Formats: sequence, C-alpha cells, structure tokens
Amino acid sequence: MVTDVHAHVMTHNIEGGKRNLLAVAERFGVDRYYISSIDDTYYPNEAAIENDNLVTYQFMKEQPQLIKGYVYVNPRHDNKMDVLKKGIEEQGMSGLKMWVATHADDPLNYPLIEKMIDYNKPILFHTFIKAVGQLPYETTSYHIGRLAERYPEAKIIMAHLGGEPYHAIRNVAKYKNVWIDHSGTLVGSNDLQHTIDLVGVDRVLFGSDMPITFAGAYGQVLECKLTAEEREKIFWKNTAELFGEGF
Amino acid sequence: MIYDVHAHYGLYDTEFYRRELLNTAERYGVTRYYLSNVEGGYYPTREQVQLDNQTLSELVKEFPDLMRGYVYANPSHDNALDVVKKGIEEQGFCGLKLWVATFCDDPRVFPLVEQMIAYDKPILLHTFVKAVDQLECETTSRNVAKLAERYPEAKIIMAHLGGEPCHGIRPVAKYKNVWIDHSGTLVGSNDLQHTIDLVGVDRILFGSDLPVGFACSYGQVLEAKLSDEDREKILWKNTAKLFGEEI
Amino acid sequence: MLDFNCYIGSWPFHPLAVETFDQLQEIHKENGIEYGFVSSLKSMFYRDYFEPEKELHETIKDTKYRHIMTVNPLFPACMDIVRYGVENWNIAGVRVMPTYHGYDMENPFLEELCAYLQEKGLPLYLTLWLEDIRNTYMLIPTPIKWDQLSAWLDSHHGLTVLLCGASTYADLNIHKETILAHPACFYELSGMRHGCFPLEELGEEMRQRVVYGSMSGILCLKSSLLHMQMGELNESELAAASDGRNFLAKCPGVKV
Repeated sequence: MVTDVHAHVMTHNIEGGKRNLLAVAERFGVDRYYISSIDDTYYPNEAAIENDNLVTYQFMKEQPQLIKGYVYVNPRHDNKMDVLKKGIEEQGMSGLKMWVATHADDPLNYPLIEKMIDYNKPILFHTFIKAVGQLPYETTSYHIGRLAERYPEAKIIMAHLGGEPYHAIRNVAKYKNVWIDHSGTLVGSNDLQHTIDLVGVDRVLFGSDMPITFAGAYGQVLECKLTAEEREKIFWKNTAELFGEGF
Repeated sequence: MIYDVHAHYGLYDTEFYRRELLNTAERYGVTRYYLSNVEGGYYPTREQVQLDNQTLSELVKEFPDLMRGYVYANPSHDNALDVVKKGIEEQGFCGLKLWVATFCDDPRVFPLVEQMIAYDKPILLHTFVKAVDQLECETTSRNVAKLAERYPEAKIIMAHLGGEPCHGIRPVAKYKNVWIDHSGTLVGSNDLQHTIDLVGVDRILFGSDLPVGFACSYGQVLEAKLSDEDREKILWKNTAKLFGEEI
Repeated sequence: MLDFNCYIGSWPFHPLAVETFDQLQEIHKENGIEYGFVSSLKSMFYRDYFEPEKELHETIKDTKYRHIMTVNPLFPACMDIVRYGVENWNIAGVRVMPTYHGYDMENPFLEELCAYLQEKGLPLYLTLWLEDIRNTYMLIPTPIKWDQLSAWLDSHHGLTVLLCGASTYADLNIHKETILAHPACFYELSGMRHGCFPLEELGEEMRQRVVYGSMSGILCLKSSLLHMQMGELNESELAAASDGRNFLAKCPGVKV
C-alpha cells in the first residue's frame, strides 16, 4: 500500500495532471493521494482559490477511493473562514493546505489553525529553506516550530523535509504534533535517512509533490535502511493514522 | 648562509628598500641578494627600464659582496637585446629578469634567451597562475614548460612555485633546466613540502620577494621536513651553484 | 547493468549515505549493477587533483570499476595529469565541471582538453548539476547557459559527450534538436528529478541517447533507477541504457 500525502493537480493543466496521477497510481501501486490544487501564482485571489478547490472537489468525486483533498486557503482573504468551512464541511476535504502567501506562524493564520483543531484534521504547510530564491512569505521550519509550540493540539504536516534535513528537522524534532513529508524532488542520498535518524519513522510521511515527480520520492523510501514494518509506516500507515480515514 | 635568489630594489623610495634589505641581511644573516628592479608598471617604457637597471647597478656596486643584480628587460621593446647585452657586459649583472610585459614563450623573448644561453647565465621568470586577476601576459608554468622544451640549454628560474605547487610544478617537473623559487608570500602549510616531493631539493632555490616578504619564505624552509644538508641546498648552495659561484 | 555516473568521497556540506568505495559497491550490488564509471568528489575541490585521482586509481584498480578523471582545465598541469591518466591508469573519460569551476564552454584550455579526448576516443563527462540549487551551502554553481552549451555542442560533433545531471527533462526537451543533431551526445538519468515518466516525454529518439547514471553517493540511486524500471523503455532501449552500448560505441578509447 502507498498513500501519497502530498500531491497536486495544477489548475493550468488539469487533465494532464489527472492522467499522471492515475498512471502513477497504476504503475507504482498508489492507493490514495491527498491532493491540493494550486495554480502557478503564489498569491491567488478569491476566484482562483474557489476554482482550485473546485478542481480538487471534482477529482475527489470522480475517484472517491483514490483521491482525498486538502482545501487550499489564502489567509489574506477576508472570506478565508468561509472557504475553509466549505471545503471541510461541504466538499468533504480531509485537511487544509497552506502555501506561500503567509508564514506558518502569521497571526492571519490563527483562526484557520484553531478551526482545524476543532475539526481535528491536519494542516499541510509548504516549507522550504533555500539558498537562492526564498519567497518573501515562504515558511521555513523556524515558523513551523513556533506554530507547533503555540498550538500543540494542531496536527501539522511540514512538507519537503522543511527544504533539507541537515537544518530544517532540528527545529521541529521535539514537537510531537509535527509530521514531516519528504516530497519535492529531494533526492540526496542521505536526506530521508538523516531525517529518520533525527525523528524516527513514526512521524515521517510518504509524499511526492506530484505531478513534479514521483519516482524520486518513492526511490528514497526503498533505499532507506528500514524494516518492512517501518517502510509500511512511512508509505501509508502513519498517514492513515494521522487522517483517521481508513480505506 | 642564505642566498636570496629573488629580491627587489626600487626607484622612488630607495631608502625604504635599502633599510629593508640591510636590516633583513643583518637580522636573518642573508649573505647575498639577487635583485631586480621592476618599477614602472606592468608594461614599462624604454626609459623606465633604463632607469631601473641604472639604479640597480649603482646599488650593486655599492655593496659588491651582498648584492647581485638581474638586468630587467621588456621583450616588446626593439632594443631589448641591447638592454640585456649592456646589462651583462657593462653593468655587471649576473642574470636576466622578465616580468609580466610578455609571456616568457613569446617569440620576442627568444633572442634574449639565446643571448643568455651564450652568456651561460640564468633567467628569472615571474610565474603565477591566479584564480582572479591573472594579467594579460602573465607567464604560467605552461609557458615556462614550453620555453624549457625549446631551449634545454637555458637556465631558467621559475619564480613563486609558478603560483602554487601543483599546477605550478607539474608542467615543469621533468625539465632539468628549470629551477624553482618559492618567493612571493606563499605560506600554505604544504606548499614547499609538496614541491619538494615532486621535484626533489636540488632545483629549489630560496627566494623572498623582498621587500614584499621575508619571514614567510624563510619560515617555510625551516618548517619543511629536510635534512640539514638539504636545507642548506635550498637556502644557498643550489643558488650558488646555479650562478657558478665557488662553494 | 552499469552505472555511468557515480562518485566516491565525502561532500563538505553534509553527510552522504554512500561515501566509500565499499559502500558504492554494496549499493550497486543491491540494485543489480555490475560496476560503475566512478569519479572522486575530492578532485572537484582540490586544485591538485592529481593526488585524489591517484587515490581513486589505487582504490578501484583491482575491480571492474572504471576511472573517470575529474579536472579543472584552467590550471596549467591539467593536460599533464590527463595524459598521465590515459597512459598509466587507463581512464575511461574525463569529467569537467564548468558551472562549479567557473569557466565558459569556449575556454581555450577546455578546447585543448576536448581535442585530446577526441583524438583518444574518450568521452567528456560534462557535469551540469550535483545538488539541488535550493539546498546548496556556500557552493552555488553558475546557472547552465544552455544557449552557449548548444552552440558548443554544435561545434564539437567529433567529441563524445555525456551530459551528467541534466536536471530536468524540460531542459533536455528544449534542446533535443541540438542533442540529436550531435552524433555522440548522450545524457544520463541521475539529475532527472522532474517528471513522472520523463523518458516517455522525451520520445523515442532521445531514448537512444540515455545511459543509466545514479550520481550515487550524492543522490539516492533508486530515485533514478525507477525511471528505468517502471516500463518506460522497450527491451532494446533498456538494454542500451543499461550496458551503455550506444554510448560506448562512440568511445573507441574506452577498452571494456
């Protein structure tokens, strides 16, 4: 079994993206994707957000077994709480996806986080620390650490190993409410292994960042020195437990 | 005994040069300097070259035991051969110094080299390979190797370990007519030792680049793992032999 | 199966899962790879790359592994070291890293090296990328100038070139025509992080130009191996990428 906790449909290539997700599911044996739909703009407006979530919702309807969704929210919008409520309560989404419009610990996010605590559902944060091209509101593991400290009840998924495991993991290692996905073309020979050495396997989740890549992330899990049981945890059990959704 | 095969005299602040040369001789026990005067910029005029050599020849006459001189020439001048002849035959110089006005394997250098072969006297070549600010016609060990190949009878001194002791040394290591000085503030812990490992001690000459530095070069010879006999070779015997002096 | 692009040595900025030759052999064995064309990471960082190259030669000499020498042609002893490697160590190619060592493809010293390799029938390993630019620390390569690279490829049809770490199939796709117009330009898979089935995107002709390379120990080996295994190549393509027969046919100086 493989559950991919971090995948996308890019709304500028919806059909191609869906085809890729289905083809990968078939060849690699993916049983479930948690997807969010995002566009190629970092700061989407209300209409774009609405459309993105609609794309996610429609794919969920088309593939109810395979596709679960995150509702995507821009915390700078006045209607953000409505977007969240609609996504979770009406569209049946499983979590909240936050990208690069605000830092994770921005007070603008607090009402969203608090609502997600009420729902008892996870929040997936894009997280990256970059040598070049860091965006102005791009969350790093520093922000994740602060948020996790403020909201110990929030279920936080830090994406992309926070950017790399030789710095980013240390900020969050002690917070038991932070899970970590390794999606996003991180294919250093030691990246995932080092993460596991720091936090163990129970909070590490398999994620690909599809449609950007799949094989890279999948290969990493295979190459890590793990027992079959540990590998299963990363591939799907941890995610299943976190979302509590069963199959 | 110390023979410093690579030191400088100047034009404008001659008191400074004299002070540095004489104080260093006294405190460190330098027995002999082989000096050149290269003031007047990277591409000196005829007049500047003439003045450089004139000034130096006066100093050498003033200190006949301590000082020896190289005649300095700019090979791009059509009177360069005359400058060399005058320097050796009339001004009492014992070698030729070439700096950065042309590459050492520039065809305009050939008549000068042939003349020095006829005199059986050494040619000191500034040589450097730089990560930044390499001058347009600055000789590297590639050029020295080509010259040594063309003129096996020429006695060539490659200055400054050719810039550093790998790329400076390897291209010339097989040419028995190339000697190497380690002047010019090269103070890497392994620079001189590595050179010795590559070419042995018999073709390595102590040089300081005074007044640029002295202690740094002298310290290197003291720190290299050498027998007393080998250290003496570097500090003076090799140079004395090369210049045909009695030992 | 062979690995045409792998390294041993440590990386100054973080630990690697595979650093020693023993570890490299082990991961190759686990993945059914018979041997690799291996380079020394130390050479990348040493001006005097002769010493680490000698170390590499000593390490692999009694095995089937082949030596890919790493040089910076800007430095004067480059050709002495390369000739030494050809004459004494039976090297199977020379790796250059212009984006890390800071020179253009038009550099005359690179040209001298290329002429020599062409004469000897040995491939030039052109390293484009070693680690995710976002994750670099202190060592930030200059961006690949694909326009210059294309022009350079156009003017070097006699030289066999392996593009190492091409990074994205999008880049390869854009420059497909240049690569295919070149009689002996190949690429390997290790840099290819992007795309679900990149070899399918690249098309049949480009699949004739691929060899398997892992960039182990820097990168996860299986991440690129999966591109070979997940049904992206037909049988003859798979065979050619696995044993490098198309590539090696253009490397008469590599005595296997």
